[in-house]
Amino acid sequence: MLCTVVCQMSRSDPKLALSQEVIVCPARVFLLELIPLDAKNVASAATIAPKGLSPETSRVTLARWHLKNANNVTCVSIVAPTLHWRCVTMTRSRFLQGNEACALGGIAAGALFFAGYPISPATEIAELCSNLLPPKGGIYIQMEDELASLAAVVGASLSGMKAFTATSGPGFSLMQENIGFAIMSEVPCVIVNVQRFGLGTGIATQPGQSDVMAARWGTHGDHSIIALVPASVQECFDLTIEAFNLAERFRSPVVVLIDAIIAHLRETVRIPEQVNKIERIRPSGPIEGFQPYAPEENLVPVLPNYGDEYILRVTGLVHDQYGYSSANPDVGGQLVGRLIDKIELYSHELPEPEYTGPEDPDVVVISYGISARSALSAAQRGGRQGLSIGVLKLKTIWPFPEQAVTRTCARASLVVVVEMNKGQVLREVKAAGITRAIGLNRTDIRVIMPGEIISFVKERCSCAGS
Amino acid sequence: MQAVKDIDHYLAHDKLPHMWCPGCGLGSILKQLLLSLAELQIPREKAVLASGIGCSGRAGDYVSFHRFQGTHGRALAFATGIHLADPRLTVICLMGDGDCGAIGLSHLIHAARRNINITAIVANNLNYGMTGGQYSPSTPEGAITSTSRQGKVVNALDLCRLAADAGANYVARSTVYHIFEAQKMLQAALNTQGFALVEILTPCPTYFGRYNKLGSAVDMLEWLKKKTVPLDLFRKMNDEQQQEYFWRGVLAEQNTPDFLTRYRRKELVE
Amino acid sequence: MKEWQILLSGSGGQGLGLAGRILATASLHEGLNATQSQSYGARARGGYSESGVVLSSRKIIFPLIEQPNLLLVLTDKAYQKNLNSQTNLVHVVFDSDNVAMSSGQKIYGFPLARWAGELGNEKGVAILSLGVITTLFGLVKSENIEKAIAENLAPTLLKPNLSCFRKGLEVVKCQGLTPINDPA
Repeated sequence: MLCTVVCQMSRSDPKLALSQEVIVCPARVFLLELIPLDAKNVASAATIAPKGLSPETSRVTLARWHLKNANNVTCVSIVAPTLHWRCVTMTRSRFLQGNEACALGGIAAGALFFAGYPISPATEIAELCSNLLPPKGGIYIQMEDELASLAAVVGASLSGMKAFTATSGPGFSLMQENIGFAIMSEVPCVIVNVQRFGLGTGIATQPGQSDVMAARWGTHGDHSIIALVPASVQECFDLTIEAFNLAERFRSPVVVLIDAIIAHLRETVRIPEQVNKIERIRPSGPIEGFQPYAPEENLVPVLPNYGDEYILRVTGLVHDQYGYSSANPDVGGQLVGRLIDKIELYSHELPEPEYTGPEDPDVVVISYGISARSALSAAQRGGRQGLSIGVLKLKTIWPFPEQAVTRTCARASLVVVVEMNKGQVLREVKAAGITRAIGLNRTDIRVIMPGEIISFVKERCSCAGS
Repeated sequence: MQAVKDIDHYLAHDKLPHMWCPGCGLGSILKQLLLSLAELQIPREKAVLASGIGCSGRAGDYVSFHRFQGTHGRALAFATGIHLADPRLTVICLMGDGDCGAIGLSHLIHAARRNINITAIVANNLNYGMTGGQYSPSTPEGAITSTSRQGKVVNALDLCRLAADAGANYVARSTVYHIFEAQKMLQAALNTQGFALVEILTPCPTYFGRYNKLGSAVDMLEWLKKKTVPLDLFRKMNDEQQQEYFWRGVLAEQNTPDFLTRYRRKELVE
Repeated sequence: MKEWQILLSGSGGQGLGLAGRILATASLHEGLNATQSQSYGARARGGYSESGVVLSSRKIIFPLIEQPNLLLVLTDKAYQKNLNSQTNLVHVVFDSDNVAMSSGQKIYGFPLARWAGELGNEKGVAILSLGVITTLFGLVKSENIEKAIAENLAPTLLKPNLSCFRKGLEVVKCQGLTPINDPA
């Protein structure tokens, strides 16, 4: 078993270093991999001091340890106060910030490329990637703007690296150009949008959930897109992995919409021994006459990477199955239709919403992100007060899980959509046929508190009763 | 000089003839690029031609190797990712002057600043041809275009000087008239480890030539010959004379380590 | 154990976020569940700042502070913001030099910043306050806090912060205050 440990002697401000730490481990030590270790091996590892490491080492030093007979998967962090290395903690769980979990999720999913532009409140994702990717042979690059960031991500993905970027509202607006391009040219990639408050430049450090429609319709032209919404730090990890897998499965960009609260919240994350990774399928068959954009039965083409013997022709223009641009109306119509159908017809493969509550609730609350945490708490507390509240917590927000919503709401007398915007998901719930749905909305940077949801529900229930 | 047959396998024959106007120099530029690839014996599967939007953006339709056509102006940003994720590729960016000099200017500056190992070619036809001949940043002062009927107000942007100042390893300019010089420059650019920019002035008889009464396509080639002077000569001119001419030649040639070389050097080593 | 909702409030630079993280990681060592949140952005560089920690033996559904039942107040601004309306149900520890309130039932004032200053570590005031809180409320074992301090701090910062924490532990013990174990 090969294990890789990096010790970074940071010259930077300790506070800054702390903000970048990965787990319950000292500021100056970054753990690169989850290391299968058992107690015996930890003991033996502790006795190995890497050669040539001096306290003056201001940059980075890498030591590789060969550990045999490893079976239990744990992770270990190492303190290097001087040259004496010792293990301080072994745990399978890590206390992480949402943004950190997102970066680690991406890396666990196999991402080797991150291009981004600094923006609050998403910066921790870039910072962590800048530390963790280079030693893995990956690339972190800070581009000149968000347009270029997503462009570089798309380029890297086409050359075969799993790639992602992270931004917030204003940067997300700039990325719309190349989100549309990536959809059109079927490039797998992940865009994390840590939503902050407001339109324009809003309030940079404060939370919002108001980019839901921007994720769906932000880029011009008819299209479909996949967007996931984590409601916990654990889900930041899990759904970022899922996002990478879906990007490969559907050959499409996938958006992860985190809100600034979940992004900065610290919670315990369980990191599994092995994550389920979907690797890119490579073409087979004759090289001559190869049609990169000829779809398989599931409507998704199997594209080669640049550098493969199979020639890849990519364009954002309407293109035929060879990848040549075309102005033929049939080619254009079929392409746009397929790009939508390949996702919409297979949306049952996307993460299902989670229902929590009584079997036949009076009230269904539909929510996501931090608001869903409030809703779950309100439902539990409301239950103790005699209210029958069920919560449908979304994981996939696009394509909108209409069926699950209509099924869950079918018999509820009250349907409330709780979200920190003016009713972006509410519109979808209504469009799904639940026209009686009402919204509990906030757009003032304040989180919608559980107590607020209970009062809201009580008020509506008593009205209905009287 | 390579024989034309050597570039056969780089061409998508069934896509020819190309869509460019008679007298446009893009075909010549593409041919010189393919000849350079042949000269350097770059295998088809290891070359990527990235382009943007505009007349030059269509070049990819006529090649048989990997091609990429991005959004307007972003070719260098996409190409940065293509190159970094697989440095074994020979990445060529073919852009127009509007593509590279206006909407994509910051990407040019930063690609040059990073000294990223990409060969950039700017086909400078002095206007936006695809959209009907509007003025671009490289349109000379006083020139007539569809959006400057009284003559363009500000002077032209020199992309080469910008790229050289930003740190590109190789910067050169030629014209479609001086096509053999241009091919030498393309080969030198492809041989450069680091960022290389070759600007090639090319006639747009359909719009720029017509608006400015420069005559036929052949007349425009003559015009390119008359309007350009070797760099050393240009340097000896006074400001007023310089306004009348374009310089030709190699502006920068250096061997600074490229982005990835420096990036990997900083990386953790065992 | 009921759920503790602990709000550490003061100003940027007092180490509130770090103290919150230390408290949260310490509680993980005892098998509790914890979440931690904190001020973000410009506010963390001065002005009002806060850090929230939720501790529970059960799964934490809502991870933020809804109604704190333990409040640390280090500055007057923090007092104005957090104590105007909800003094009743809250255990309060405040800085008696900087906050104009008086001790009483469940309300404890100490010159926290002054003590940290005496130790030559003004930035350690939140960690010193953790010592006070640990003694008064017995949230987590002091050895687990010390363990968490070691895990969250660079080795060079370990000693001064440990001494701050221990100072907080001891001064309160000396005053003979009895620990409270229930957040209600």
